[in-house]
Amino acid sequence: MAGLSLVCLALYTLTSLVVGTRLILRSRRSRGLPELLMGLTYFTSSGIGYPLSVASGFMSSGPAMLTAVIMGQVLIVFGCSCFLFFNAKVFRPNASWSVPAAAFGSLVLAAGGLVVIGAYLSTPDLALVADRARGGTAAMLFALGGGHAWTAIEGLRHYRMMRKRLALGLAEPVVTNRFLLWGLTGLVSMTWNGVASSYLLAGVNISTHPVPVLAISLGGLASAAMLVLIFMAPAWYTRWVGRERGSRALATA
Amino acid sequence: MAGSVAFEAACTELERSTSLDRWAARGTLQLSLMDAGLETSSVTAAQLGVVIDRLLPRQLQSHGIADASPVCARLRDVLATVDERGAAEGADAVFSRMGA
Repeated sequence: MAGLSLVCLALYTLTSLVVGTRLILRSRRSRGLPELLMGLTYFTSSGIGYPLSVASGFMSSGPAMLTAVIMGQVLIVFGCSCFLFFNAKVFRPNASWSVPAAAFGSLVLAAGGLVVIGAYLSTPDLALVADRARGGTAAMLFALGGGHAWTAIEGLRHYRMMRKRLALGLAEPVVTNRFLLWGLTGLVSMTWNGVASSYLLAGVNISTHPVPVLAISLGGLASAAMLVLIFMAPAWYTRWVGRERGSRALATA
Repeated sequence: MAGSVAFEAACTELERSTSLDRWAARGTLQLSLMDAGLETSSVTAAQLGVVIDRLLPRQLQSHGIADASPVCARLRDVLATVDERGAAEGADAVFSRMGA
């Protein structure tokens, strides 16, 4: 189980770093805020913060572990906040509630992160730390789960709209498919987040219990695969999506 | 929620060139946009042009406007003059750019 978990984490981390770097570089050329926000999300949170947080669990109590915990939490909070603001700016740019909702989610994430850091600073006893950090971790998972639910709803809603546009020649099949994958990424992330949250609230250590570890690992693996298809799809996949769409159009003609 | 510049311009012209009142004109255009998978807040003049060509005539006929062609022509003329600079970018444009 630990081996599988490590492989999934490594794949997800690597994919996030590559996708994040590409998006940040692209934002420098296009001056686009959405690609910068999404690039920072994958680079800081999934690419560095989350693996750093996991790695700190294997370190013995001391300054190195504390540094890893603090850096990990700060990067996770920053990256996940960028993710919430991406949803607000891209999917609800004119809605009065979207930016305040993203700001509220970011505050919950920050508060949760501070509780986790505070737990590590309060005692060197790791068993006690896990207990004291539980509330903070649960708050972070709650805010993140909300963000993933938002992603799933917007992705699938836009996919439905894009299919109608496609019939009028107002959309590209590949872009339409990206919204489907984006919605599915939200659903997958919501699922592993829900599993992890429920085990955490039941008092289980989610870093060692096989069920949350498996859910998080497989969720990360599926997310990594979908990230590749959304942001750096191979030519064969793009051709397949175009052909699939073309044959459906012929069938309904 | 306010519509895009193109949507508002088309609504005003539709109200002026038909017997539809303000709310009927907005509703008619909104229904056509929904059929096309577009939103009033982000629709562009180019997208609205396609909707006017392909979907609006049927909606106008259902409101008792038998000859929709001159109305659609006037709407297209108005849309050609719409200034969309500074308008918010649609999610489709963002996703098209990010995956390219």
